[in-house]
Amino acid sequence: MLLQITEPDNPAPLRERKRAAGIDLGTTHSLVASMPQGVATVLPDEKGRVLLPSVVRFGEHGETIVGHSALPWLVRDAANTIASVKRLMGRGLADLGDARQFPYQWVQTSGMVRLKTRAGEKNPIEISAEILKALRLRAETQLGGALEGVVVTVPAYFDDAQRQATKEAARLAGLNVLRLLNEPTAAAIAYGLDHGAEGVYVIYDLGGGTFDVSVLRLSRGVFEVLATHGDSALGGDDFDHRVFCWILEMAHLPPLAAEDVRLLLTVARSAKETLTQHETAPVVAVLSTGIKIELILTAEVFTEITRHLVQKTLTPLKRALRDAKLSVEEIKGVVLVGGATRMPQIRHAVAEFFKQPPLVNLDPDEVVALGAAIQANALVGNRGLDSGEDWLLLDVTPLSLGLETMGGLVEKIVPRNASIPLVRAQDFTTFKDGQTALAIHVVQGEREKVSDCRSLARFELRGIPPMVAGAARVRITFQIDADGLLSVSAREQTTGVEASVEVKPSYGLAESEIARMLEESLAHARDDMQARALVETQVEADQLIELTQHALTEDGDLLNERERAAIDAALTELAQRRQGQELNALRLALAKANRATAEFAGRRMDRSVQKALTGKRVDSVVLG
Amino acid sequence: MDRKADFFSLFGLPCRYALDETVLNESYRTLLARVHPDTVALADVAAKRRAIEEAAYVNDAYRVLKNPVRRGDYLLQCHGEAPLGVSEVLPVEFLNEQLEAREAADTAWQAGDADRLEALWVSLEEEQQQRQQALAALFADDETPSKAALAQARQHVLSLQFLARFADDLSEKMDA
Repeated sequence: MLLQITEPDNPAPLRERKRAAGIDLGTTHSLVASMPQGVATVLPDEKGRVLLPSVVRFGEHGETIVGHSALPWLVRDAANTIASVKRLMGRGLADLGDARQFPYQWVQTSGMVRLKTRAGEKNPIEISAEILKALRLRAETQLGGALEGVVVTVPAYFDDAQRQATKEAARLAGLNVLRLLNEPTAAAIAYGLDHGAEGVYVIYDLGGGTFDVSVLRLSRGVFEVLATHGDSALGGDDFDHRVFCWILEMAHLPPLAAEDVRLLLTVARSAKETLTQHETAPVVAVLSTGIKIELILTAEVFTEITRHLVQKTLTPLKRALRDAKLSVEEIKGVVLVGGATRMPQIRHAVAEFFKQPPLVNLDPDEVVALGAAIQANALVGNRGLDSGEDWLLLDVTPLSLGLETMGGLVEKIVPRNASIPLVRAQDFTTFKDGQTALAIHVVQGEREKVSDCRSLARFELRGIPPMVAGAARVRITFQIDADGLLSVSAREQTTGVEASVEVKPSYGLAESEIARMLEESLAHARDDMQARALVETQVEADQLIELTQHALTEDGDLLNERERAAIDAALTELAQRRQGQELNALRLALAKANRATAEFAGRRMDRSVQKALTGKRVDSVVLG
Repeated sequence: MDRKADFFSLFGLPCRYALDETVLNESYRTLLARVHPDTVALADVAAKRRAIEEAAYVNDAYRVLKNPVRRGDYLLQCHGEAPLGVSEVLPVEFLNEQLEAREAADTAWQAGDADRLEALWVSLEEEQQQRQQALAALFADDETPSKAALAQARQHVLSLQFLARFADDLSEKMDA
């Protein structure tokens, strides 16, 4: 039996408890939860409302309004009323695609986006901090004092920049962040601890704007994330948009004014929500032009127009299962998270895919905040006060991390789904004689070529004393902490010269970029493998040619004429194939040249000059 | 936590190639429960840094022991051998076999011959099994094997490394 959150045997007195809270900072709404009596509960506002709309308005008199009271201003004062700020976290203007789709005034800048508002220029971190401040106030009022610490949730697919931005926002709101927690993992904690679950579970998290899937093994109090996948540009909003398009089509509407677009999107959303309980939903609206719309949307039509969206969620599911090396039959249960999972067609699709109905005991809107509250409670040390055994959370990194190496290729240092925290070091060396600096380029993504991955940081290790190529030993170390945040350092081993960087890019991957990159990585896996193999074989060929020529100059006397001619012929053929694009021909030529020079290499080793030909370890790759 | 101890003793395992995965998994969880950063969320920066390093160390040790190639490489190093390098010499027959198998896989993949791919997969798995069993026999107790045995073990580990790469390639082809 795991930690019980519904019926504590003996709730500890309040004075012994430290105040901690879990915060779900969502795209459309945010929540705060805590365990004031040893029971995880969401904290409502003074009117009893649990969900705080993630909307911030900067008013005429310098006031900042957050939540329900800001909602009416979305249409009337769009430039100063910011919704869905989560989509802007850690993003640059270039990442947004068409920035004009947002009703905001953008500041032209190369870093993270900034908006011009009545209250001055604001970045997404500052705006998110306003939402967090409102939740902090709510929690501190109800818990009767300052919070010791909080756990803030992020989508599993958030990259380094988005995580950094979220943590900054919480600090700006005066919160002590104990941990950033992946949303699906939080849901698993809330669900697993409550139900004493054991076995492998899948968390299907369809939020307003993102889709995450995580595979976790729950075993005697250990939550081990086995794999995570997702689509950071797929969510409930897309379903609203489908209905919106259906309305346009059915009512034969001309291009609409911005306020009518907002109106129809709202109508579309409420029709979608109605269909979770009913077979039909009325679609009624009067536009600013006086046009009146009166339609009926049936569940059948709704299912039909959103079928491809539902299908789209199945691909990440399959990939996550494959990464975890599991089949559908091995899944003990599926937990639904996110308001969008209330849609009956989602539940049907999930049930069909997993051959079992999904688990829906906990409110999909609240389950993430509840899990975060349980984790926060444990981290501040209240764990011992509540019944239940110890438990432990083991998470993974969602995207691969690597370095740029020769030929514009990525040398992966940390594969995706590696357990965190982790420290991974790899030795590199210099490529040219007398090279005194090494350019280090850190990238994130699944593709083989640097140009197809996201650039996270660049830095230089300078002051390497001049040595012959290949003599320097530069150890590059990646460290990822329990929040999934990365830092990279480089150190030349023989001299101790050091350089390091905490990876704090001004902005990270575009919302759709991760999805696209993953999509392409799988679609292009074939091309990539070929391209990579070709470049690698070419590099190998160059090295063999260079090394052999060098060896021939030094130790040519070890060969008789016939042997020498054979090596020369093999090298000529290799050099010729090197210029072409035929991988198999090049491989063959390389194998031949290797064979032709094997005996020569052996004799040179006997002469104990092997250093010139080898001395390169499997973990040392030449950086350009 | 003793970071000077070898990975096997860290998890309470004998220094052998054959692995009791249940013991490994349980010790892994027990160790992490003790050193994970979550245990020091309210502590100072130094304690947090130590927790990250220790947990990372446990994660790394686990990763090494769990993987048949890394475990073999690690055992070689435990017995004073150099780590696996890129300029290692493998028997020409093995390399030729590998070249042929890869070409066969390419051909089968291009022809969409799933049965052939499956057959290649089965024989690949068999060879991996055999080599792992050979390694288990070579590293059967805490004694350092003879030089000849170590050289033999090295060949098996190197071959397993080759085979693992082929396995990745083959499974991608089978998925496609």
